[in-house]
Amino acid sequence: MAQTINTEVTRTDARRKVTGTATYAADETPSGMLHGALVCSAIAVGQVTAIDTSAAESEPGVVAVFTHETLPDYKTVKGFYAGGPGSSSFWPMEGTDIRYAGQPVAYVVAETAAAARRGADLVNVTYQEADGSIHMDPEDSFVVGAGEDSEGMVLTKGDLQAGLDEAAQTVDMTFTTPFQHHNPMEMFSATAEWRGDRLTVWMPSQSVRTLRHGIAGAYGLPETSVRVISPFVGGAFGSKAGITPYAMLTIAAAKGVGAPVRLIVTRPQMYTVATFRPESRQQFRLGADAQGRLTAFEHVEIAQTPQFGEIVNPGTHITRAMYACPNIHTEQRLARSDTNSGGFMRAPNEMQTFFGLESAMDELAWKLGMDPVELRRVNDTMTHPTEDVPFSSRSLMESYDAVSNSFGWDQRGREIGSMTDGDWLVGYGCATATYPTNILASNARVRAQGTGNAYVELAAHDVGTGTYTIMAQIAAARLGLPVEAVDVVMGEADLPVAPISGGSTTAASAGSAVHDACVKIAQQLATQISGMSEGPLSGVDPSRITLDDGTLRGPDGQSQSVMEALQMIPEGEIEVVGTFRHPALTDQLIKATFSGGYGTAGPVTPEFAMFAFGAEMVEVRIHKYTHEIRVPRIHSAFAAGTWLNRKTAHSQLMGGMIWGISSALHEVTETDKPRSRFLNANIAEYLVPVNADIREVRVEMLEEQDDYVNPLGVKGIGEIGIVGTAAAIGNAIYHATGKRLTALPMTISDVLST
Amino acid sequence: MPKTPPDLRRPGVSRRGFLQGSSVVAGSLGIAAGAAQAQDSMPSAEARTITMNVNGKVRSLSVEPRTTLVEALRDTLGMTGTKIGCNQGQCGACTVLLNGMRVNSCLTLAVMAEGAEVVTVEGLADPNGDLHPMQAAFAENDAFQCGYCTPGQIMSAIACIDEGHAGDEAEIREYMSGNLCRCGAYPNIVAAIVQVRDSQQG
Ligand code: FES
Ligand code: FES
Repeated sequence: MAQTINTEVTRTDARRKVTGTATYAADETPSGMLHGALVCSAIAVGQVTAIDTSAAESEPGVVAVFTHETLPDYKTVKGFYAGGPGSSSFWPMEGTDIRYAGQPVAYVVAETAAAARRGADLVNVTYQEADGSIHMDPEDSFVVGAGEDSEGMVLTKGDLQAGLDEAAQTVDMTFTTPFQHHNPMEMFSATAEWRGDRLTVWMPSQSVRTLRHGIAGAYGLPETSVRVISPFVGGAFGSKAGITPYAMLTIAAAKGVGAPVRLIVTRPQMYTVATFRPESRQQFRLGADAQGRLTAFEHVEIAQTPQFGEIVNPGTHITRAMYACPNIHTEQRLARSDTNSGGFMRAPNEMQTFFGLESAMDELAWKLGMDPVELRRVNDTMTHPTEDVPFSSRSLMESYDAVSNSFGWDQRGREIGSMTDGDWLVGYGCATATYPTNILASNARVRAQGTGNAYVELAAHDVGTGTYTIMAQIAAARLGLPVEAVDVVMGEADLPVAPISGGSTTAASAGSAVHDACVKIAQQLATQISGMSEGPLSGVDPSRITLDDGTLRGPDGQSQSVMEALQMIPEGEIEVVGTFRHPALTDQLIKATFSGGYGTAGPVTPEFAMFAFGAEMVEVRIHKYTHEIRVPRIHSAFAAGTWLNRKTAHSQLMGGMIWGISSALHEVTETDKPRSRFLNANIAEYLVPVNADIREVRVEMLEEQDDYVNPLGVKGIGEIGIVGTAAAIGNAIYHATGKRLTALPMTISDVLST
Repeated sequence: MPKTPPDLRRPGVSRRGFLQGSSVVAGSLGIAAGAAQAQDSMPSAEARTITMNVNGKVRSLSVEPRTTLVEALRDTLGMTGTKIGCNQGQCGACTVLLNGMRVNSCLTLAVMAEGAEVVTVEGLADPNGDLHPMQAAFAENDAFQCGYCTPGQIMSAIACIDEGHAGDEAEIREYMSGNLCRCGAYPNIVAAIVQVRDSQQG
């Protein structure tokens, strides 16, 4: 039996993806379907005073134009950060209020997409405009929650001032990060079809069960009356988790016209009708003794939040887990501005904060005259600095040592500007990456057949993460089958409960449920075959029969393959539901997940702190005269427990690092301040790397065993790749030029300016 | 003779350079509030019947003058393999071959394809199920994650080699830069193209 785990397996859905037969939500066309189009607000704050729909309504092909006054049976749900399933806690088209630019104000239904677009352009909206501000004022911020509360939004350990006073060197730095938009390549869409009071929704989703639970609840329907289907998702990165207003508008519009309706949100509208990464300010004060040991650590994060709702992605909870220090103070603050709700975008707590932390650490290393890798080494810790529990596993310095080797860190010039190549200034930089191991409850159904097949079913999602493949690998490994013999069905709310695909949790949590199902199949099988009159395990105490990847083994060396054993039982197959309930999951958390929410435990439990770690190193080249910034090489090493599939894991980590390059050098949602709106709302002027921007990317995946996180020993890897990159690039720019850049993205003009 | 689409023959043309030329469709950075929210729609007009050869089959279809090729393929013919990533000529997800040259089918009106030969991702594999070498190389090299940009990448990759723009990795990267991949599969896409190029030369 070839090895199926911790090896390179080609995606089981590869054939469908390369032949165009993978069906994304907008590829479904229910019969009689009409096309929707949104009309979005041209102002940011104020009121709709009138909507003239007459021109649109008389346009050929237009079937209906709905406004807040005419859209029938439109329902809304509570926002995610208020404990609901919604992408926002403010719902457009409930009245005349305009709270952000690009807010939907009317909905056109037509026979073709072109007619719907035309109709949308012909809707004439009149507004009364009020003043607004798209940017937060960091000077006008507030602490989340009640201060020193149980959630740790403000945390003090030791005496920060004393730690600063006794330090040999200190740094006091402020960093800023901009608004960013996920921009998955697949545009947002929703298709709704009502048949009586039964509803089917096709929508790309990171959580089909959140969608179904929320939609059914809003309409007062039993969940069995609502189907949500999302077999393939064209990238999500956090943007497709909640119930969006455009989805609820489409559901209402379909009801209103009595026909299925599909809306494809335009690329510009994608910047305003869903979530984004809020802008932030990161303030750090660090102090260290002459040997580099931290004596003081302060991090205050101020993140943007809308006028309604509080979007809290607590980055300080992650930074304070990083390095040993006796005196720590962290604060999680928010500041308001006039936008739609932000949300979580790939590494929502980590990308911004680690740009700050790891840049500040680099600055501290220069002040101390230390190699930045050595500064991380002297502050490495196997105990969580503020929680007093050990890490379940932590291979930070192993990661640094591995990446130093592959990168050639020892070739780094000691002085700033000491490395050149012709007209290019060369700099090396490094940074730490980490990501918490979040834990969620999950179920999975597995049916193993003695004919040499298995079916795995669960309401998880493959958003490009390779989930179809790894679920098949887990079942194949446990049952002793080739990966191709396992069919995996996911992306439907009717399937057994699996959590939101977010927070890098699916492989660990849902994968553990698949594992558990296979173990249960083996137990059931052991009971049946041990009671049979014949066979190698006949008469053996079933409690002493164990599953050893495809083989049932008795205590005295007897064995039989799972497939042979299945052939012996009359049914020829066994079907069970496996579960994953980590001891850290409380009843309340399990309940949250089972009702469509995000009931996550960890990363800190009463016993352990659970994080994946890694280190990144980059070479930056800056042209002496043009100051163009290039990243010819980026290397990394990560340790994240068990690797399930080295091929897809590599792609995820590499993709994360490319996201990091993007955050460092390309990505920013520009704003039109006078009009309080996002400016470059398209995928040409919102820069993301193109192929020519990306050169050598090397990823090393270290072996690490962690028996505490889950039975598979898997930590998540969807997000860690992005975490250290921006700081590593900034640190390399400093090494090359002596310029410390503190705002993302870092551009030619930043390097030019003095 | 490598076939080179006219708009790619100019040296140094890149996605960004190309976009400057298509800013009308891309939507200008809005000065007037209303304009920024507009969908760049076109007025309706009477439909007409056109004929084109799609993946080796002659198809007749009724389209309005404003109907784009991608909407004709997806909505009229029900061929959803070709994807829409922006509908503005910015991402390359909708790339198809039109008379052997790669085009953004969202920027191409269906009527412009009258009498033309169109090849989409659905037309690459052999009817017996064997994948086109580029499809196989994409699968083997994990040249995608979500797979949404993939149909466009594969069509573009085939054209990239056909045009003679796959000389070295730097050239491949440059000539594949009209196809965005938000998942960041670029190094693997280049590896897939190199593999196919080498096997064709071998
Ligand atoms: S959909 Fe045509 S270029 Fe993006
Ligand atoms: S594979 Fe997801 S956008 Fe390219």
